[in-house]
Amino acid sequence: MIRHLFKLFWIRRKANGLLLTEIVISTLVLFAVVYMVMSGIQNWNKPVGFDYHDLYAINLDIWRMEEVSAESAPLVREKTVRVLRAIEEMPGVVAAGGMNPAAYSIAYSSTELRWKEKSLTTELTTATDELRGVLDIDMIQGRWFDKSDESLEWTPIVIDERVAKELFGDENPLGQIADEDGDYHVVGVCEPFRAHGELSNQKYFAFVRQRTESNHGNVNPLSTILVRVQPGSPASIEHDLLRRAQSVAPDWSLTIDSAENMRNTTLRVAIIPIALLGGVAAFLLIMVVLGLLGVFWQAVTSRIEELGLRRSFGGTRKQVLLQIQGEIFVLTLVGGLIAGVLVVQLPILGILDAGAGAKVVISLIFTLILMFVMTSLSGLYPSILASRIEPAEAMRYE
Amino acid sequence: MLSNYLKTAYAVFMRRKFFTFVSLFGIAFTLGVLLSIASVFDQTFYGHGPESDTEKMLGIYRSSASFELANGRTGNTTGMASFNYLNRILPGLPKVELYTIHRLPLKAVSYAEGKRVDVIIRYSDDNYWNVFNFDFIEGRPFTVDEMASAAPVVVINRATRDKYFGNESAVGRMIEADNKRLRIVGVVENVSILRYINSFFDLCAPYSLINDIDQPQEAVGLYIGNLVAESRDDFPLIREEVIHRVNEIREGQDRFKTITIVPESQFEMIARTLFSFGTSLDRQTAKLNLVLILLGLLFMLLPAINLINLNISRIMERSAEIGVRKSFGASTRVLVWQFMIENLFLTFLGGILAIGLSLLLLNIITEVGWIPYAQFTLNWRILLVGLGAVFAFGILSGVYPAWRMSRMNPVDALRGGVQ
Repeated sequence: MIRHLFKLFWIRRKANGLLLTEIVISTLVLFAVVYMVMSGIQNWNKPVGFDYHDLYAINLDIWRMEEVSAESAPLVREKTVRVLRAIEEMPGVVAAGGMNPAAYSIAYSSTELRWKEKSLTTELTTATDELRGVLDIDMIQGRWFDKSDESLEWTPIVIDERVAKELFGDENPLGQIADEDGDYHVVGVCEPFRAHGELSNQKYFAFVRQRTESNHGNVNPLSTILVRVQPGSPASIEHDLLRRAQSVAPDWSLTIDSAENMRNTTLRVAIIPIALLGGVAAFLLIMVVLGLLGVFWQAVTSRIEELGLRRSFGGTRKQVLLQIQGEIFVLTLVGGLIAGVLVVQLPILGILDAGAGAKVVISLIFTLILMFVMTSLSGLYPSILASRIEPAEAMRYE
Repeated sequence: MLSNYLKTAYAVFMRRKFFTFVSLFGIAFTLGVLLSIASVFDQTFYGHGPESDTEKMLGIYRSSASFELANGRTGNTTGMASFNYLNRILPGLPKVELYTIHRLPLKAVSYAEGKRVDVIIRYSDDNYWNVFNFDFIEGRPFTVDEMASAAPVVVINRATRDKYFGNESAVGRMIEADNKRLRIVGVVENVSILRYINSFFDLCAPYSLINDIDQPQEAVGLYIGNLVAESRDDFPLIREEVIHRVNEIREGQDRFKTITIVPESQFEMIARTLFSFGTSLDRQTAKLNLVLILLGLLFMLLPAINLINLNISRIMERSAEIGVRKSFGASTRVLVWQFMIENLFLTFLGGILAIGLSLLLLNIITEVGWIPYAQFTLNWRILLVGLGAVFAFGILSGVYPAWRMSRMNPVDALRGGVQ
């Protein structure tokens, strides 16, 4: 039976060529959507490394308001630290620390970490000593920054577990120098941290210590203060925080946002394109299902003779129905396999990262199942029509 | 002849209504999505609202500077231009009628009666109101004197007025924002957020009020410059003069290796950003146009193949008719033409449905408010793009079936077609 179906497919290969193309492209479109949704679900289920509740971000954006040069930097820095201390002492505040770019901000900065022959593009943020307490960052190994780091000749960094695994493998990362200039010394390893939240596919993350009392190469003062307030604090605490910060630096224009609000924005930005693409793809596929329905319908009417012959030689209705569905199945299978071969090239060619291999295969299987459902759905009516052909009528057809 | 073809086409379409429905559904959906995308695109890059008369306008939207780092490598910063650079480049340019300098709108917080109101605030000079053509609901723009004396005045948009004061008149009232107390002098109609760079704002105040005029040495900052030329023919001359002035400033500073600042349109800016930060514009806009057309065709690929398959099925069904036409001497060319015209007719019908569909879609997007203050519409520019898409789609989906049809052997065709 199956061999017979493949033979039929081969005989009609010229007529089937375009149908095959349509199925291949549909599979690719469906795969793209399935893969995006899968990635989204996978990212969503990974921990982000911090809790967004009761968290606020005060933006200082110093570079907008002050001339930061080697001469002015100490003054500006001293003022930012005064703002930080004032916030820390407020009632209802659990902890406050500097972080730039902040969690859930749209800005991001990255650097090339290097060790021996390896290099790794890593997202990084500056962090003050207090930040660990604000975000409740879990350390796996080593230590977080502290006040004594202020006098160091180099810059301490804390890398997350993924950087440690990728860059140092089995070696102990503590004490290693992780950049070309020999400035970054690894002092700790923390749990995976994803500053851009649940739906980001950001892979590597590191914290660089922000100096609060002295300069060391980098003159940038801290520009975002993250504040953890007591659970159940009223919403009005947001305004209080801003007023307090503003009172220390009346000539700066400061803004404040809750992490919850920033998270909603981030999620919306991530979900809207997926929703739009998904909607468009859904319409494309409905169109394909209807189109194939038309094509199969026409194919059945032009084959009344052949199918009638089969019936008159004792083929049952069920057999005819299965034949049409089988032909559609073979068509989908061949098209799906061609698309599958193309899709599998993506991780191999490095367009999707190699680690995504398993996800590609699972998405592909899911895609193929959906394709089989779709094509057999569009073949349903034509094959029922075919099974209703009366042998006598069919033979009279010409 | 043409009316004959159309009559045949009509008869064919009505005979198999399901085929016609599926074909029209596919065409209308495809073209409808394309029209909607074109509408969003149009609102982003072409004349809308206060920027509807921008034929003779150029903007300085980007500044890119490279410098030598301590370790000998080359560093690069890119962003908007700095105030100081713009203020040295723009005054007294030849063939320029007007210019304005304004800061990229940024978020600011204000609290009204304990309630938090987020606003986006822009700071500009007084010429801003002459360069852009705002629709004032009440009041007036701020003046040269108010600008010079750093008067705490502000122009707000309708949405902000509604948030603060309901529907009442706002002129003369005070609002607090960005840590300042400002007196409202005018209210303008909302501008789509897609025009963020030039004309979107909730609040607009004189830039003499702020102390973040950037460092004198910096080439990259947060400011935008717009200029209105005497005519479009003067654009090359103005560009050359700007590039010349930028180089002069740079040489006087001994800080940057290169600085790229080019007056351009926003579309040109995107093209330049995507393809390189050089100063040439023509080739890069051509490239961007090409990429957009290719993306459009790629989107049409699946619907087109779908339609090709349907068309071939329809032809098979009509083999008897084709056989008769052929045996009575109709040439291949005549048959190809007939089929192409039929298909274009169908695509055109789909295109008309697409207009309705895209209006519905755009209405939904406008209503849902994903894009604040955007009012999506269709205009002749978009319909022209749509017409182009109709032809592209009609030809893409018609050529192959027509060719297959013309190649049918009349004898086979009369007998009911080849499998």
